[in-house]
Formats: sequence, structure tokens, C-alpha cells
Amino acid sequence: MTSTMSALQTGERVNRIEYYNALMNQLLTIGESMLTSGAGVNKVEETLAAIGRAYGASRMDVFVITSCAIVTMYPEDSCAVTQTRRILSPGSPNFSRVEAFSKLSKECERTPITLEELTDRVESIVSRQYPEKLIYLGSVLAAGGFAVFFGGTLMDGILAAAAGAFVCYCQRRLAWISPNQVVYLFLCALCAGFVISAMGAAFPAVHPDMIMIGDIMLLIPGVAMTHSVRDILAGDTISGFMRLLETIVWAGALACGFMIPMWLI
Amino acid sequence: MIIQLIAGTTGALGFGMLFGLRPKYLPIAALGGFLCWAVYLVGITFIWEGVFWPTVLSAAVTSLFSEIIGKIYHIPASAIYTPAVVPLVPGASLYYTMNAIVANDWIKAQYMAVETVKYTLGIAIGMSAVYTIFAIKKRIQLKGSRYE
Repeated sequence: MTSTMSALQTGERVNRIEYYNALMNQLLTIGESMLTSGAGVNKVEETLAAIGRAYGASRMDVFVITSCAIVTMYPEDSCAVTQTRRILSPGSPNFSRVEAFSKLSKECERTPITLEELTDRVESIVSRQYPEKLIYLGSVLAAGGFAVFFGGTLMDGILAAAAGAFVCYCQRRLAWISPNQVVYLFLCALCAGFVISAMGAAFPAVHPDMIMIGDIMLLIPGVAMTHSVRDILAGDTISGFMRLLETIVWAGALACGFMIPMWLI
Repeated sequence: MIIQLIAGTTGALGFGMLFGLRPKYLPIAALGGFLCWAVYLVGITFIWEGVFWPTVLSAAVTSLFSEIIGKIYHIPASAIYTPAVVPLVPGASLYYTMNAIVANDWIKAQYMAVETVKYTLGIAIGMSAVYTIFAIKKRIQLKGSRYE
């Protein structure tokens, strides 16, 4: 009788551990997706801790940097569970996804949904893609707008907008062949540089440097650099310095990519 | 100035799309971009010389705007702030810095690098100041810590 009771208790404990492991897996997927979609490390740490507490953790130890997330959950009815997720790609910003996760987190804080429902919701948000035509339109508006903003003429803006669409095409086609972000940005800059230099040669009245600056805004990690400094000031020093160094290397890769066509054409 | 304001607003709108903002928030991001550059222009034309303090002021005002919008629409403030602050982002000076390094012009590279740092620090300080005020307010309301 005692051995049966003990076996039942052990089985229940194993089930609970499995449950919390599955929950942690979802938490890390949320964290990874938020981070690669543009959320700051602060926001990700806050969100994961809040969801964990909503699911019965008496304490949550969450450590997130731009390349890794480590979460330990201390449930009241089970032993502590720790999981780690390596984040390999910096991803691309998608604030509608961040917003959806933020809403999901608030919903779970009010009334925790079942693990199955949470898994479905997380999968649905992760698979949500921003419309491609809006991404192209965004590239056109941003490149054209900033070419004029930095002192270009209307013609420079129009050509920068056209080149912006090409940059967007390159970004979407070159990602899968690039082994890392440095090569990816170098290739994008190289392709864009050739097109812009050719435009400069074909239309002598335009300013290729202004067109280039407009299109560089699409690629240059200025926002990432600014956020890295904010992270350093906010006390997330490791994340901040990692991202700051990465952005400097990325900017170097971009400059090299843009310089080669300028030398050749 | 007017051309810059229009172009900056268009750029912010474009970045709102690139950052995957939901279409209904795109006009707000564009308005944020307009506000950001307008405050910067006021700062650099009427109050200070040099780019640093106008950038701090503009980043702080844009951050405040984003926090308020975030509270009204229940969305993360960074979703509005990130595209709105793009007109201040030192893309051009970062490019010129790297351009000068590749061209072996170290004097220009040094000057442009300092400009880039001024913009970057200015944005970071402006946004951190407002973020800290809102974080303190939240802590007082919750009477707890994020690490608990």
C-alpha cells in the first residue's frame, strides 16, 4: 500500500516536472521571439517573469542577453526548473508580434490559460508574418524620405526609393545564403552599392552619396546601436556592450560593401 | 526645414512599416517622427549650439509621447518610439565615419565618430531619462521589483 502511494506520488511529481518543462519551453519561445522581433532585454525579462509568476512560480530568475536566455522557475508545487535558449539570429523587427506577446502576457497574468492553449497561441503569434507589400512600401518611403531628409533633391529621393525596393528584395533573398549577419550586410551593401553607382553613372545630375545615405538607413544598425547604449545605461551591461560591438562590426561590413562598387564604377 | 520635417515624417512612416507596426498605429509613428524632428529643430535653432542637447531633448519628448500613446492604446512604448526616433539616428554620420576609415582619412573619421557618439548618447540619455521616470512610477504602483 505504502509503495503504491509512493509510486503515485512519484508519478505525479514527474508529471508536474514535465508540465513545468513544457511551460518553460513556451516561455523561452516567447522570449526568443520577442527578442528577435525587436523587444529590449528589459521588456523580455519582465514579460517572462510575469508569465512565470502567473503560472504558480514563487520566484523567477530570468537572465536575457541578446544571444542567450536562461530562465529558472521555482514552482510552489514542484522542484525548480531551468532551461536555456541560445539565440543565433538577431532577427528582424516585428512590433506587431511584440505587441501580441505583450497582450498574451497580460491575459495570462489575469487568468492563466491552459498549457495547450498557450502553446497554440504562441505558435500562432510566432508564425505571424508582416505583409510583404508593406515591407516593400516601408523600404521605398524610408529610403526616399531620408535621401531628401539628409539634403538630397527630389530626384535623389525618387532614385533612392527605387533602390530601396531593390535593397528590400536583396534583404529578403540574401538572408538564407548568408552564414552570419556580417556577410549578410556586406552582400546587401555590395548589391545596393552597384545599383546606386550605376544610377550615378546613368544620371550625372543626381547625387549618388545622398541616394546611398537614404538606402544605408535601411541597413545601418543605428537603432540597434542606440538601444545598446540605452541598455548599458539601464544596467544591462553585457547585452549593451555585445550589441554595441556587433553594430560597429556591422557598420564596417556595410561601409566595405558600399565602397567596393564606388571604387570600381 | 519644412522639407526636412516632411521627409523625416515620411521616413518614420516607412520605418514603422519596416518594424512591423500594425497599420492602425502607422500614422501615430509618423506623427512621432514629425514631433521628434520638430523638437530637435527648435532645440538646435533657438536654444543650444551643437547636436547633443537638442538630441537629448528631442529623444526625451519622443519617449514621453510614446509612453503616453503606449498607455492609451495598451501597446509597448518601444513600438512607437523606435520608428519615431529614426530621424535622430546617426545613420549618415555612422556611414561617413566608416567611409572615412575605409578611405584612410582618420581626421574625418575621428570627427564623424564623435558626432555619431553625440547623437547615440543623446538619444540613449533622453530615452533612458523618461523610461526611468515611468519605471519608478510603475514600481511605486506595484510596490515590487521585476526581479522578485
